[in-house]
Amino acid sequence: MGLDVTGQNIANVNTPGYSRRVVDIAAVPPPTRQQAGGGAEVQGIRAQRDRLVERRLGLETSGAERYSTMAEELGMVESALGTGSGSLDTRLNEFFNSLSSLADRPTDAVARQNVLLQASSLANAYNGTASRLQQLGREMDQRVVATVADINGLTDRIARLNGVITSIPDPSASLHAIDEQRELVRQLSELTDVQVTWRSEGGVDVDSASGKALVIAGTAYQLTVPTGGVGGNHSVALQGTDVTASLTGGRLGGLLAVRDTTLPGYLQALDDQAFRLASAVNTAHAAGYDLDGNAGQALFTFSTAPQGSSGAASALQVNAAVAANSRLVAAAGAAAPGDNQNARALAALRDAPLMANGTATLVESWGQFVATAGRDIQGASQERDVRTEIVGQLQSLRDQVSGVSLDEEALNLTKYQRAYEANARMFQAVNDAIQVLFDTIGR
Amino acid sequence: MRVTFESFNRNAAAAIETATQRLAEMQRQVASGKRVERGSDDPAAAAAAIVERGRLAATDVYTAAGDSAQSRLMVTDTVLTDLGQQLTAAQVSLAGARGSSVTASQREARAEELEGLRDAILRDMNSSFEGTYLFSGVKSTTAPFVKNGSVVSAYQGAPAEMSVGVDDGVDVAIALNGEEITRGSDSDDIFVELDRAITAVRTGDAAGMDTADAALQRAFDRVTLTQSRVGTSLRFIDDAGTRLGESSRSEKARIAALEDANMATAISGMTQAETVYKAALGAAAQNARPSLMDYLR
Repeated sequence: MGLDVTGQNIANVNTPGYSRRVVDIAAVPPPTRQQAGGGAEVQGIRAQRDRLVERRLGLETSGAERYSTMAEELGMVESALGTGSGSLDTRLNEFFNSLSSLADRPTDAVARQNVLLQASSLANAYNGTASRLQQLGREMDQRVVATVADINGLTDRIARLNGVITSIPDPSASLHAIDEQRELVRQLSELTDVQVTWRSEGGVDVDSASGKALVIAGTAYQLTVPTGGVGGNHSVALQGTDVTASLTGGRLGGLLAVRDTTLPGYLQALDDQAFRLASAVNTAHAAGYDLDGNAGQALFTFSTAPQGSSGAASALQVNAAVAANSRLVAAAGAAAPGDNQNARALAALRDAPLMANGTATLVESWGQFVATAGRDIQGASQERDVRTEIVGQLQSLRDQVSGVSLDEEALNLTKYQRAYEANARMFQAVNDAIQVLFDTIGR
Repeated sequence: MRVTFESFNRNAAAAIETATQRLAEMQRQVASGKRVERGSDDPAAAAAAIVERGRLAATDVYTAAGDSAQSRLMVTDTVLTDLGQQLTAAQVSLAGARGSSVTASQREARAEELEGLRDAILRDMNSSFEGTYLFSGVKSTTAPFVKNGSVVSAYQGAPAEMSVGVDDGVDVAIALNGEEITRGSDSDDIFVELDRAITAVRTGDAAGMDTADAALQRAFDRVTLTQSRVGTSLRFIDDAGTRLGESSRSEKARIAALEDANMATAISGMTQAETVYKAALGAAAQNARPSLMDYLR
């Protein structure tokens, strides 16, 4: 039996979730005082586990996965913001440069056309950035749905294993099922934060972070993803209750945090900027006069009216009438063809503190936006690294108890082999003694 | 403490991953020459670089505006020099028409000369640069004066001058108020005065010629004053250009300091990261060390 268990341990040295087995051997007491004893018997086979370590491992795994997912998703968000010449600040600078050039040559058709070109390019940059962020939001929403499906798959299997574990009367025979279940619970912890309760009859009950049950005995309660959540995304419900806000851990928690909090915040900041840009430029433009002496029209319009400022970035566009006729660019401060005062006023918006309650220019605001996104990624990455380190340490602690050491198994192998050999020699000795007896009787 | 092979493998894999990430980061810095390419590389530096690039763009705009204004004002200066010469020539013609020895035909010649000078002054005042008039103020597309037959119109431009910014808080006028030159505080402009001078020359009206001469002198003084203003503006532009050049260099240096990798540090870091990477690989290879199993054969 000892050799069998050792072989099992060696065979599963790389099996995820496997807990090393030990054989409990006890001496068989003698039936009478005149006898040495009945030898030894195997009382059972145990799996070496530390529930406290496993519980902490589950908690920390959820945290590590949350921040790992956030860092990953935010990295994609940062890519969507663009860098170098593709970033919004470059487009803002080009736009204001074109207005400054117009101030130098207010009647020049090329300068006027360039203003429209740069305005269009700027509007496209806002549209593109908003569109990329929205697309990422939709992709995250799909990953939320897929993750929920994975969670449901795991809880189903955990519930089924509860049935298997409780149906096996001999605890030693259910060890493999318990190992498999522990591994599934660990995988579940990667996806969402759960609270595990060990059942006295074997198996586990699993609650979600909301306190609602995911698994009770042989029953799994499925998470559902009804539509109509924040921003048109899927919410997550359990037993008919929306539990989205309570799901903070694991991959699902990370996805929800970025999808429902970080990304909408970024989009709102982008919308605010686009809206204030359009408002300030339009106000200044309307105060001027075009090349024909008519009052300026709005330079920027919105394809769909923003709600407050929400939706401004994706709807920003150049007024089609002005875009079609560069003479309508209102460079003059008075109804005097050739004046540049309004072009200068428009160009001066570059340095106007339009953002952050009148404390930051548009470019400074974009810089703060990029820095905020960068800090969010750094924060998530640092937290991920810390949690991953903790998970690593807990895994080492778990390995100290449950892991298979080949050196140790080799020693066990030798121990049981020697014991087997000694027993064989014992039988040989008994056999020899009996043979001597037979030989004596036979003479 | 029990140490298992799984722990060895996990730790080795983590060490290799960390070393690989570090090596890749240092290789990126060496290859691109940039320490900061995204906000997450260094949020504060990335934000500061964006603001600094905005300032550099503003500096470049001022520099371009200064260059453009300088070209325009140099043309203006040349025109004003010519204008002064025409006024001086007109005064000389007027002086030549004075005296009892001057004959009627000589006065007529002087009068025609004055007519030519008047037309030359008109051409100067209607000078343009890159499609806009130099002396129409903010009505830079409207000719300052129009000649109907032999009569020159009153000033058609705007009293307000058109200016551009060539540095923070430094504006220079690039389209001047022509009437400031031709009339100033006089009741009539120089063209009216020249017409009177021509009539006075033809009629031999000495008092009229004296009055016209005084008007021409006042006009000359106004031209000189305007030229002085233009000279001052050109000096402002020069001064601004010097400051902007310094600013531009400083801003570029600041952006480089914020974003660029210190190549010596980056290369040293890459070498160090490579060493760590190799050490991590070596340590992982040790996982294949002999175990007790090897001694049981």
